[in-house]
Amino acid sequence: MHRINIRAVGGREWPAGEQPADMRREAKAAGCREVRRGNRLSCMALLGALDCTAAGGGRPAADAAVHLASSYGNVADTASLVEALLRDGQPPAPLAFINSSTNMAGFYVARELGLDSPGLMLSRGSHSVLAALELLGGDAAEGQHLIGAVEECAWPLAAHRRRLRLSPDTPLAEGSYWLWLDSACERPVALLHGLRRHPDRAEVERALDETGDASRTVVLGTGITEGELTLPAKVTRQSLTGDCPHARIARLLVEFSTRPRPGHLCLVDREPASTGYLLLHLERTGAPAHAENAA
Amino acid sequence: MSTTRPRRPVYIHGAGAWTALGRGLDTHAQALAQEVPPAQRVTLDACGEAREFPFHGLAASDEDPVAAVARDALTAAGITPAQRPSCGVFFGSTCSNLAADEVAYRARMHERDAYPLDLADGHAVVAQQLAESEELGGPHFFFGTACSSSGNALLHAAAMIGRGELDTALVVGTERFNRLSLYGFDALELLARERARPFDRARDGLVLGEGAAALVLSPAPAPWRVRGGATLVDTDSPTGSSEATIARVIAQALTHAELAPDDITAIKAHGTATVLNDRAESAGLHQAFAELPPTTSLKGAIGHTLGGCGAIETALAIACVEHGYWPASAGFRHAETEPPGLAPLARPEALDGGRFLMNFFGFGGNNCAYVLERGHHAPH
Repeated sequence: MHRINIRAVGGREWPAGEQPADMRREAKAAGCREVRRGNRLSCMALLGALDCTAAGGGRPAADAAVHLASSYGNVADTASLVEALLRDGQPPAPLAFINSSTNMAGFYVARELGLDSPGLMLSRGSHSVLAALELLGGDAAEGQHLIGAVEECAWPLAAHRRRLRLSPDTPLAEGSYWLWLDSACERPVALLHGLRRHPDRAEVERALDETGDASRTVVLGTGITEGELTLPAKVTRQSLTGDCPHARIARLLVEFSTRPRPGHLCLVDREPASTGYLLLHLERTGAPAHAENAA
Repeated sequence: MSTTRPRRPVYIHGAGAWTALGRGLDTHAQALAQEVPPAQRVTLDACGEAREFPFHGLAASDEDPVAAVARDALTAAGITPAQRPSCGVFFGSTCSNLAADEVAYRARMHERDAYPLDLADGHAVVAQQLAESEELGGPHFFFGTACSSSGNALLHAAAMIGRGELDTALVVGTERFNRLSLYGFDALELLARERARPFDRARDGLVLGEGAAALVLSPAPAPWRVRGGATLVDTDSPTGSSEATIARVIAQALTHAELAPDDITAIKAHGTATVLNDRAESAGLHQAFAELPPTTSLKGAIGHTLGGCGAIETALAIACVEHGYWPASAGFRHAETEPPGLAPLARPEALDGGRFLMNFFGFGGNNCAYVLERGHHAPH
């Protein structure tokens, strides 16, 4: 993978309460135009994407691709439609059915930003944002790309916790985190040096050593057991945090990229069904977001 | 970037397909050479009254179609145990796991704690299960771009291989019978009463179908090559693309395949048989081509398999060319005259190779087009 410039990052998380937060009102208050026909997931996607582009100090180029990564996509609306149809005998309303399409949130982001570009919706569980970065590969080093990880909850939360295989008292949140990749950006907030697969433990440990910077923060994903890897000396260990389980990696990338001092992040994880290890190496430049990047 | 172009050549090494017409490429090539059977009728009573819908369903079987076509494709491609640990899975579907989930939910829906969409790993669950069962250890992806899902899966698998970031990919597309899709398209008034007639002036909508297909891609030379393609979102409408965008995605696909319109031997249109989509695609194709090469739609024969149609229709097109012809557009009789439409093939046309444009369009304004190439050969 070539070095990839991250021009800006942004996003937000909403703690899940007894009732769903009114995303349409929040999106409207934030100045989103595309809130009338979109559903909650679309509004969340818009809010996160606008946070990110605002941090980048301008509008993405018209041909900036939008890759929306989500484990569950429109889980709330789709679950409601299935319940209404099968249990209550209510056919889907046309707009609700259209909005249950998994790529509709990305469509509204592209429309809000006036883009005329490729768009995809991708999913790989808690690694959905990594799937988007991995799929782009070397192409991410050219042009502009918006990558968003957007995850909503479905109410009642008790059922949603069971869907996620979480215990009944686990706090939940919804999240929308975005990265704006821009190859022409002169002062990126972060540089993605690599997202590579390593076939075994020895290879990934060697690759971790080769990242070579004493200021490294190492995050081990949930697929790694404690003690499984021998980490280089003098690294800072950090855990994935947040109450939105499938957006934790995107949250990590966004939060790490916005800290003020330079530093390196190595995320190591294993994936179900895949052999070996996945290693992401991100460098935070310490550059302030936006002013210098403004068009 | 607005397009995706393989940098090193990418080839298709094996395929498997299973639709209402049967299982296997030869079965499809033989079926599509003749008059295809009409859609079946399914009766549903989910909304209080019994309703009959035309539908192209799979024959009952104990085998899982996705696993079956994946095995067929891997076997046909001669994938070795040494290739499996790095082989990626690119899975595209509209329904994802919804069909199985509807069955599970219907069995429990009157229990107090029942809930639908019991997806522990979200949309990627089928790709993950397939990777585990076939011991394919490379990256796996779920593509959810509505009816262009598995078309995009193939295009992006080719791009990743073309960049040298992956050596082998299994591309899978599927759509299974589910009530939400049937009642949803009914609510949109897009379903035909009897059969789908793509591009026919008397067309009255689409007929849904189910099926699965898989293709194996790698950089090792083989008769079928993925020349290149493009994907582009039209933000004018969430449910239909404009003729201008369709013409543009075709032009981008040709540019990145390093071909001119005259180089195209035949076209597999998206051809849903809805009034507006066929009209936009006709106009877009007329914009892109001064003279249209032989064109077909496969949806009159197998139904609209939604997110699965990219892989399924690609596999079927390959099967037909291997048998020496480009298939007829089942259900077509008379072209539109006002505005002028296009006249797809009413009968199969003999050919033995060439370059083939494949169109796939979906909700969310997603448009995907790519070009396949087959060297000339002796007909099957």
